Amino acid sequence: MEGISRVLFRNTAYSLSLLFALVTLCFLFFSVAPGDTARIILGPNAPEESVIQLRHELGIDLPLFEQWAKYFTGLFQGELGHSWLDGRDVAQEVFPKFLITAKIGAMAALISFATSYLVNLLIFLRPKASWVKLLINAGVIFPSFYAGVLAVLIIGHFFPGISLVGYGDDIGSWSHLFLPALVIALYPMALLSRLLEEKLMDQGVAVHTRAMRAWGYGKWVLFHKALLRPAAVPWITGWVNQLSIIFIASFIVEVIFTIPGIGTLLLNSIQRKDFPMLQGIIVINGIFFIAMFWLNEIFIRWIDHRVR
Amino acid sequence: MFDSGRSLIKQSAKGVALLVILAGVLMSVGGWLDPFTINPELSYQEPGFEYPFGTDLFGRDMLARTFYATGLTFRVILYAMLVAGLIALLMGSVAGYYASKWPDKIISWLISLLFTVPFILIVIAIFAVIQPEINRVFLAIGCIAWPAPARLVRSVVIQLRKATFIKATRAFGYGRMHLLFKSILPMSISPVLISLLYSVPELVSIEVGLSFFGLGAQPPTPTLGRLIYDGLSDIYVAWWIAIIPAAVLALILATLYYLIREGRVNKANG
Repeated sequence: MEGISRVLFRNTAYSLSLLFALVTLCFLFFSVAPGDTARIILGPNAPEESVIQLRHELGIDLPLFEQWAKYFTGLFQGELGHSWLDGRDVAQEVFPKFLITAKIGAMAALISFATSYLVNLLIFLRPKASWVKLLINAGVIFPSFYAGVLAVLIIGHFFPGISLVGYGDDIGSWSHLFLPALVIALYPMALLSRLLEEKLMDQGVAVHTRAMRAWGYGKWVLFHKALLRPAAVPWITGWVNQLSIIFIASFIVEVIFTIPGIGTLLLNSIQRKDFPMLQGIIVINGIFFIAMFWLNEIFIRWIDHRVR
Repeated sequence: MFDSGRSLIKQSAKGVALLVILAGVLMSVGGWLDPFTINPELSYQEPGFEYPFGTDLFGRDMLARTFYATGLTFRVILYAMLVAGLIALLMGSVAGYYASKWPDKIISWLISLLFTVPFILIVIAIFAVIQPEINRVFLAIGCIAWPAPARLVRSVVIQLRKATFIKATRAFGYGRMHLLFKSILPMSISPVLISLLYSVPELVSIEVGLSFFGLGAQPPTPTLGRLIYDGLSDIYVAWWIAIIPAAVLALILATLYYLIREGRVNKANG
């Protein structure tokens, strides 16, 4: 048995080591990439002196270790460098867009979590309603990129009054992001409901459930106390593991719905080979995901007495 | 559990999907289909008798392109699974054999590193730097898909280490390498296969997602993701270009999903 503070310390140290490795690898990867950055920016006809000067301005004529140290100290001050193409500050560009993506992702994650709970509860209380399960499971054939396309097409065809694409000023508003979130949630929803269903089935034949049933507990109590509680840990872990699927889907759906989130930025940066921007996107996403996994570990220790 | 009517529909859907995959793989290997010939007079033909899936802007036969793309997608995934399986076997068995010693700690740390960052971001980073190409796509996917099966191998090997036949082998005086590669490794192949099979739908989605960002196969070579992505820009002119490959993909995904699910249910019952 370990004290909770020690566990906390160990988990935090582990997460920080992951973060350190991620940033370093990412930095190395983009630094050793072939091609002369300054030459690419200035074009093939630029004179050699200005290329050398730009190299000095960008700091890429320094030894690799010094560049790395500079990047790291910058990271602590919220500095992620500048875009090669137009000199935009990467942190200022990526962070607001990440918030939009995170908003969509959070909504999709909540939808899939709530649906998996409600569907399983409904089927437990009313076994005849298993068609709901089939309906939800059908979501597995809708990987989000074409679910998004279909949604835009169908709604555009039947409800021409609703404009889906292009949000104007109120980009971040929750109601506008609901439809993309729903589209993204279709696939993880199906997976998560199935996962919970399997875990519940395991608990359904367990001794404690039969004992509680024999004592005459009602179905509501039985579901929450005997079935859901032991199944909660794999359920929640499965949910956290889905976050990466949800985010990938969100990148793609944003492009379809023309929401200015990380996905759109990613597409632009790939097409224009804007390495500092890509690096910033990966680092910020990495920080977010490492933090989420850290939270999950802590939460599971808190909820499940067996892991403690 | 299921009445016969529904299971008949399911069975036939499964059969059709498997046939599509098989036909696609065969045709893309054998080169019987011609997905590349450009025929400007036949631009945007609706699906009909001569061209069951219609034609695209350049008058290319969409039937040939869809089948070819299906085959290519699954070939990519097959190779990716091979790469991932080999790495998973090696990493997982080493980690399991040296459980909670330093090789295990390093490998487990690597696994959690790969688990934390979304898959596709790493692949995107790789292909932003090197030129995307169909032969590199499966390598990249394979190098990143190994953590989940490796974890499984690790736990299997940890259990196997205590088995009697391993103790017997050790008692006979065989060395560590013999134990690891001759006795333990063959026993952990089947969990790797199962775990990789479970991940096929996800791998399909990754391939499609990569194509969506323009990082998969380069035109004119079609994969399913590429076809759908390219069809999107034409969707108001010619709906069939995007919708038919999407339907094929949906059919295949549904089949894989149910095959996996039934496998699980059977295993639970048996």
